[in-house]
Amino acid sequence: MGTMKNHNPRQTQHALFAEIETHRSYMLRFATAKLRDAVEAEEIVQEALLAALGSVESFSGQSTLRTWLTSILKFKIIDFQRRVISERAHFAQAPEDDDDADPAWFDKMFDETGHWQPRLSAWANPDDALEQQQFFAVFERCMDKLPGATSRVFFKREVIGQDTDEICKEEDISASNCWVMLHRARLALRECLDRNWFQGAKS
Amino acid sequence: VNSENAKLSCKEAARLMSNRQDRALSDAETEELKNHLLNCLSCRNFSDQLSFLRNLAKSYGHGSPPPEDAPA
Repeated sequence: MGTMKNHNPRQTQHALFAEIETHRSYMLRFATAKLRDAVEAEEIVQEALLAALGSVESFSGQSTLRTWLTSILKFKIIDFQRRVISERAHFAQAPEDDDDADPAWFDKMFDETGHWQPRLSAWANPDDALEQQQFFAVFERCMDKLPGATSRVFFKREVIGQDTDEICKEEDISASNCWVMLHRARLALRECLDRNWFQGAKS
Repeated sequence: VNSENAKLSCKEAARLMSNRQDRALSDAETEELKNHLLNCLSCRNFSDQLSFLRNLAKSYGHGSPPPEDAPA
């Protein structure tokens, strides 16, 4: 993916720089999920990108470019967290969703007997969508619409692949709270992808 | 949770399908869900879409699809 079959080294480097830049928004989401603070996340991503640009020779092409960039970013985040922990106390954020009551949008997906409304139809050729950048842009927009904590928990669980115990600790929430948030995130994302991609003509 | 004999609604089935991606379901939950899925096309579609969503998030984390070649 990040391997450029180009024989002019300057051009190769230029192309790699441009390609690295295309991963910025992913890295920002990763950092925001981990740090909660958008401004801090932006700074760390900037640091990580600079570090990456300064060491492009060490990118072997054995992992994807995104995986390589993410490993640099992880180091930067850990480094930052160490600095911050010694500087200030940790304040837990109040959960933004009341986890007992389902939000109104959630209830609207089901009728009073608990059946889907409307019925869910199958998606046509979903795997084709995985080949299209536009589809991933829709996915990002859908994730952006989730409430902050829900979005972080989903990102950690499904994009990063952390287990729920670890997420609970980081977010300072109970396991059942975590499951509720993940379920809401999946329902909302399913609906969003359905509406913005799979139903009728894609935008 | 549900009383023993009541059948699972789609809403409850959906929650279990989501939960099984994060925790092990009890035998009773597994059984109830299995029975519900036998008779419910919407929920079978939901199940497929949940798996797809998981793959999607994973590919996203790995940087798929590869960006189009940036102009040099």
